[in-house]
Amino acid sequence: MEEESYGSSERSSTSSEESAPYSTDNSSHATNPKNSEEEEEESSSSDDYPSKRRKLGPIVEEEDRISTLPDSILLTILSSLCAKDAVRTGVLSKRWAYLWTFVPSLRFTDYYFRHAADRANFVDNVLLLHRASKLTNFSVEVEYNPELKPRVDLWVRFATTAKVDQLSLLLSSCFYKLPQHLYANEFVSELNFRACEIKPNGLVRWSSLKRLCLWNLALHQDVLNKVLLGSPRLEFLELRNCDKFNRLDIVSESLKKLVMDSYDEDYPLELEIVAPKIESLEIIGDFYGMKKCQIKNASALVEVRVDFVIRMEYEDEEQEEDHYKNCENVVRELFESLNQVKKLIVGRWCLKVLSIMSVKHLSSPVLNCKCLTMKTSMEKWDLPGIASLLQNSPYVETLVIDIIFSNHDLEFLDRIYDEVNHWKSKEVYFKSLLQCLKTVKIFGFGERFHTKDVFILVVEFLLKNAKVLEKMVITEPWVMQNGIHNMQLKFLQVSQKLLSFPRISPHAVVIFPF
Amino acid sequence: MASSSTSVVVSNKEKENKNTKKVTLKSSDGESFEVDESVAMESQTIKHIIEDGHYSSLALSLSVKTTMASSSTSVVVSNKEKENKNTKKVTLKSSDGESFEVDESVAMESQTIKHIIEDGCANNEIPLPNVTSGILSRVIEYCKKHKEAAGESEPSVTSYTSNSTTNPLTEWDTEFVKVDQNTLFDLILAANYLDIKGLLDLTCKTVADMMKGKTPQEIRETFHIKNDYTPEEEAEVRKENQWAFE
Repeated sequence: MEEESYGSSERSSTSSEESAPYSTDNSSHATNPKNSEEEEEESSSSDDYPSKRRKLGPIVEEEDRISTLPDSILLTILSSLCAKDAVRTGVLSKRWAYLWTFVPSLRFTDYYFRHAADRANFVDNVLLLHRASKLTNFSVEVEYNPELKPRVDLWVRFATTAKVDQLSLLLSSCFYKLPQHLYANEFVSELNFRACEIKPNGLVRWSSLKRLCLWNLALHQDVLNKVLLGSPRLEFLELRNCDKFNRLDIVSESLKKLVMDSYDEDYPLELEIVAPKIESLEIIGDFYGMKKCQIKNASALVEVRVDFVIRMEYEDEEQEEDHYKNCENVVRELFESLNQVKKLIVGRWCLKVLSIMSVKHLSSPVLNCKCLTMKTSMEKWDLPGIASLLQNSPYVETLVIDIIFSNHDLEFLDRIYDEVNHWKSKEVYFKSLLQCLKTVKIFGFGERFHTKDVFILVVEFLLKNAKVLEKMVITEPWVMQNGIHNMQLKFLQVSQKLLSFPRISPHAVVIFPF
Repeated sequence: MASSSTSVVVSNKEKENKNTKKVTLKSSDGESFEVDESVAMESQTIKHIIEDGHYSSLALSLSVKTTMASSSTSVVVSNKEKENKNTKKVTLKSSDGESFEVDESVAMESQTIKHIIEDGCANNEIPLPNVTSGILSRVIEYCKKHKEAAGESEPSVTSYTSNSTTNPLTEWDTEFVKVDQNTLFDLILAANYLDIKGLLDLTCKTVADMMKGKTPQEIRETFHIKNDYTPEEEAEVRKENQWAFE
């Protein structure tokens, strides 16, 4: 019962006890809130009838503090709930009766209703009773069909009339054509659209729009132009699984962060970004074909995450090799425009491409990043890539290695290159590296990896060469929390081995937080 | 005294304030307490470590948990802080008469306090008649932690790393609100009065999470809400709201 955990010792001093004695088993638990036992019996016998039938004598009045909170705070609490839960609070007591009708946030995003029609009816009923004149959030997640169009139009109209700040239409299975009046809206600051049809007849005027997320919809260049031109305050743009374009020019004076997630079309994507104020960029997900990805004038760019895969169907090793030749060019060009970035996150696939470039002795651009994160499976084909990245990042101060699972092996390389010797040969060039490296964090060092030679090789190398290293933290939160005993033992054994490696930095500490 | 299950890191960081040498103590569950070196040296153990040399980064094992560490450091801090006049401090006085001296920047996490200070009305102490000492100390803890996190010079590891699904601050917040209901509501009221948006959002969300997915009767039980409907009224209310329960 939940009550037990709420500092019952504090309660007993404030609650007033009635005179009637309790049954013996209760009296021994002097600090046990009596109400809980009462209501336990009540709730098992009935569902919602109040606890007026008292079986054990007068109840200690547990204070109903929540109802004493002012309306504004209760509405803040209700704002976090989905509409269904918020509406249901209406039956709690008289105080709560119509409180929910003033909640400024309406989220119809739970999956309670099985049929779209029921969901639509529920939304209609809520909107009928709702009384707040201003909405901060209006979100609907529903499976759409064309019959619902008039109703969804009404909901959008309701939201815009209430000067909503954040509007989310997350639909599926069919496309909903946005009503024209929505394209001229001066109040909305965040828009999220999934499976919507965006086709403004005239200009787009979203003067307050700061965040825009477009998922699973068709995006044409001229529509994108209208949107970007009409959103002079846009700071965050996310395009996820959008299609119907092969080339995208993202031009915005105000944009600070861009997320480009996945792409699936017949022709390879050409992406060009012209955003002088852009600070953060993420290129993630699966790209079924990428020809070019360039950022013009990336002087403000601070943080970049390149964690994508360029996928292609190939039938034999030769096709695989050709595919990777193309990828090398894309990755190199991309990294060239990232050379001023301070914080870089490189995903496992990009790391593998860097590995290929490295063993082929192709040059990689030098990076100025201070904080470098690598996502790697610590398999043999990551080694040249890791080496190449470290070699090209002389100023890195914090290195984070995130070990993840990967089943992506580059078999065509196996017969040509020997990755370990490649690493060892590079060690000669490493002498001048890692001048600035102060902190290393390694996550995901789990049971599968403790025998991995690559992991041990890398750690040994870092300890041997990082002259100003202060701290190396190696963790595996999942294993530690779940306390699987023999894993912990193996972990200990490996950690002892790692601790025994020589360190060039006198102040270096290796920490295994347990 | 060394116990392998815990670790405390002592590192010497010279922050913006170059006059006082500071030292960071980190407890076993990851919480950092930055204190003046002179303050930390109240502990003989730490004093010896510092005096023995290489302390740009040191690991020592102490079987100290967060609460213990904080109570000992807070006692120490209150003794010494009066001597340290370099960082601008402000005194907050709780409803039950206890005074808390905090950095002005930390106190300004509260918009209410910020306005008082900016209006020039904070001479000696800022009285907070609506907040008890127990709650005020927790609020200060929250403000300190969030102020610290905001000013982190080391690039923080974001939630991109697949194995740490939440950033350390979120984890701290989750632990922070694991309190009994009474304390939680007191925190809500304090956050509202002091106008600390982050804390208000956090505590309100916690209450909302306690309501999620529950039937009305379950909610009544959780919060001891008295159902003041007569049986007839209740039936009527039920019928009217039937559409919400289908």
